Amino acid sequence: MSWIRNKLAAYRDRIACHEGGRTYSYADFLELIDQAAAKLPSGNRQVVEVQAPTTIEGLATLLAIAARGHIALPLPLELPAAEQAKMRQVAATSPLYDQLQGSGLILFSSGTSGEPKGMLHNFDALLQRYRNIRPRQDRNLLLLLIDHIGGLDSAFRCLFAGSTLVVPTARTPEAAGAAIATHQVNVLPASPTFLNLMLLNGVAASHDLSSVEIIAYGAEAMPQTVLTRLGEAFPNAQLQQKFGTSETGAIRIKSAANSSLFFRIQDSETQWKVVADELWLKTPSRILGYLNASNDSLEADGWYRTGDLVETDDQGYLRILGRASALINVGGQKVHPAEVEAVLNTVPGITASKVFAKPAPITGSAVACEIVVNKEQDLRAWKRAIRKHCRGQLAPWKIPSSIAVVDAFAVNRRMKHA
Amino acid sequence: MPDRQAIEALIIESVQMLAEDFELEALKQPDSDSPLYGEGGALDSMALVNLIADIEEALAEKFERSVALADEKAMSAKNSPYRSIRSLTDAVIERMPA
Repeated sequence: MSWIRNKLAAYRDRIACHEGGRTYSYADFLELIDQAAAKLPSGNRQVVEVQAPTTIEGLATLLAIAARGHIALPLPLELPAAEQAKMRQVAATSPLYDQLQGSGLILFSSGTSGEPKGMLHNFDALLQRYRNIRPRQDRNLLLLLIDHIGGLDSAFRCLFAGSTLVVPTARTPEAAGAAIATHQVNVLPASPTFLNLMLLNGVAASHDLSSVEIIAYGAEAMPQTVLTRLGEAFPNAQLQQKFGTSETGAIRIKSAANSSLFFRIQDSETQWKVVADELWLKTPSRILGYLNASNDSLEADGWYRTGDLVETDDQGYLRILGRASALINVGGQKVHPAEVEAVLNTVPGITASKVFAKPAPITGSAVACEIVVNKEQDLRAWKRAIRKHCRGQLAPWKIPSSIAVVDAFAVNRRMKHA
Repeated sequence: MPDRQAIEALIIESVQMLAEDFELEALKQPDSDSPLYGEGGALDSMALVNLIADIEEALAEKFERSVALADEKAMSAKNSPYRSIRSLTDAVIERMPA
């Protein structure tokens, strides 16, 4: 793992990070790694919790753990104590640890049952993916915590390129806007939900965001309406779609066009195929397995069944339609929530929507939605507006039959809809 | 608990509004015996799904009662509760919490 040290040392005089009013050079960052290494247990491999007061110290600790061959368990202090306790318990022991060669990394994803799902990465293999990254001099905003593959990918991609990480004081649209303006951030990686919140909060009006050149979005389906409005709010920015899963790490892709949701997988280390509309991926950085869940999605020959349903075109471009688990079956007809949400978001007065299944007579399920609105009218009027707007744009079984107006959607700590 | 007349009035109103939204001529002036779904009924399955949702939401809004009309019982009933406004009214009364 000496390549990591060499790479970072080559950037010695550059700025690695702005966080909490402090500026850290790459020399400072190397020193933080040494300090973290000094505190690590000596001897055989063991699970080491990563709980640092700052993100940059957390990243330094992760790299120290990788060099020493331990297993890292990031537990950000922002997490509720009960959740931390649960994660600690899941990670305490696992037969998987014996299969590990080199260092490990434990990440959690929110399981469908609400129980956090722990997974074991070969940390060396994950880091190896950044070895040949070319130097850049960007200033990247970091919105996600480092217990998440998206946050880690942003951070490592930035640091191994010698760019500068900008950590906002809070993970709110307002703090993000302030950090962008103060540090002239030019790369903004964010989820569609967070970007939509920035637009709704008028951040573009209260802060100078003209430094942003690249908006890298991912993690969930991007509504076409948000994409269009982003183009208006950030006229200088190129919109880049990112894709990855907690199980495989980030996958390098290229969008068909600036405002297109279609992309091509351009990653020499990644194989992909589509089986019954579901995307399968094979990468050298796949997890070894789940600590507390079934390994059904992990094929013995290295493939990972993502659970993402995709559409393909004849030129090999892909588009994510949504999660297989979220698909609504209306009397045998399949409905993707994201497709309906995209149309709902174009109804005048609707600023956000969430579509889900509801039991119904005859068809088994029907399409229901919750909407966030910016004008007053009764439910009946909304229902009528939606039916009228959707007719002709969506097949009859895709048009929501149940509608509820809500104040706002909860956003979870991954910055996606809860 | 609202009386039968009030419930039937709410269902008639829901049917009328649905008939306008879905352009169903036969149901623009409905009465208790207007056939809805099944033999002679003007609703297809999607219109029925929408009507049931409309009625459930109207009951919640007007009477603050949560009634599920798409339950197992309704779907397996020998005499479908979705035949007419009268049978739907019966089904609502049967399921309405006191």
